[in-house]
Amino acid sequence: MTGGKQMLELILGGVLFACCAYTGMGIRAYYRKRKEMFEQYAGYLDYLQEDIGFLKTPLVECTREYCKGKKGEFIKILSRYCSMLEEGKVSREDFDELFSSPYIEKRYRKELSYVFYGLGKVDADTQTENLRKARAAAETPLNFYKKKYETTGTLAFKLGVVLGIAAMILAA
Amino acid sequence: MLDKLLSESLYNAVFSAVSENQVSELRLRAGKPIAYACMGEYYTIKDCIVTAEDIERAIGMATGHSVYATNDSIARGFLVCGAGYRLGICGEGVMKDGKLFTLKNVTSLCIRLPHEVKGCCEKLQDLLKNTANTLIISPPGLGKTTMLRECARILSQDKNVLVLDERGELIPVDEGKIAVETGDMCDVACNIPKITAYETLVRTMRPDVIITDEVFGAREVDAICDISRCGVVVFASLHARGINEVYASEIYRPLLQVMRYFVVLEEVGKVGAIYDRGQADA
Repeated sequence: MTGGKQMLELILGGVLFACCAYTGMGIRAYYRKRKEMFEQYAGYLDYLQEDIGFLKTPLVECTREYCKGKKGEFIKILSRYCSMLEEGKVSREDFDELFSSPYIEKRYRKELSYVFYGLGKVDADTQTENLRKARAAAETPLNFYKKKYETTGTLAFKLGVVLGIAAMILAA
Repeated sequence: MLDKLLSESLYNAVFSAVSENQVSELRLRAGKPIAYACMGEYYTIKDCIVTAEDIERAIGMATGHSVYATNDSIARGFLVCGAGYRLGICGEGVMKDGKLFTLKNVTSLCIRLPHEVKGCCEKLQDLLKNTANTLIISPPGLGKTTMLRECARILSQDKNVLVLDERGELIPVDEGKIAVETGDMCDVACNIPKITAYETLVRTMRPDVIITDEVFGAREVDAICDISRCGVVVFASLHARGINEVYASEIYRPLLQVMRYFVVLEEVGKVGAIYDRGQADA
């Protein structure tokens, strides 16, 4: 009887630990995705600047080339962006909807929507200049999310593990 | 292609009444009803008003949403997309270093639809058999380009034909493939200014016949005269109402000396007269 109870407590402790650690990992993954999203956004702007400055490749082709072999939330957005352009869905509302991702805070959604809405509407010189400005503006959220990941994300993971151990001890 | 260029409402408004084959031109003017040309006549659909968004959409689709990639063409007032659809653009000019750099706030579009009309050169059979320098003359919209396209198809079956297609509408090329029927011996140089093409491709491609659309200005006339002196046959078209107008123009008069045949169109696709300078000289 006692052996069975101990086994149950052990399993309960294990489950509690797994739940807490998993939550911690989930929170850390959330912050990592937000960081990665802005890293890829910044990378995309760099790529566009270089390509438009020299080769003037059309947007869809250029974007697909950038996405090749890459994964992540921002790459999914870019893929949807290409489909939107091909279908001619290019209203402000379409762009606002494109960036309604949970990984982008509301204050940055408008900014990204504005940058993408303006892509491909001007000559190469103006376009590269606009991209340079957008790239400079992307530094703020990029640094913010990097810091958030390193602090809050890592802390959440560690806290999850510690809480899990504590819960396991208490359950035992 | 048109279903992509036009919004659903505009497309349905026009093409529920007529088929694409019947329409040669569409006119989009912001705030005005859409108009289309059918057999040389213009029709407007009063309850279908074109918006600025409609024009923006058409330009977006025609440029692949990449104005920066097509700005040179925009600065020359047109865009080409798909299998030879040409969009004439009218808007506010932006000048840079004294030259027209681009257009903004576009208010009007003139979309020309390409057509293949096999058999439209029936009256030109003797002329095509002789294959001598030929100038097709008519005001805009009567079918010069369609006729030249058919000439290219017929002539390129047994002669090396080089088509110099500055605006990408004579023999449309879509993603590296010729989008209309041609003979086996047809080469197409598209979106290259005529003068540049004359200077380079005549030597490198060694054509028997050069076909080019809408001769414009003294430099192009000089180039045609030079080419025909080299022994290459030229088929070209010119905007004018008749041979007298060509003669009256100091710029275009030299063409009368080098061309043998003059084909004058009087109505859409209808040959009004063919003048043979060889016979006249004799």
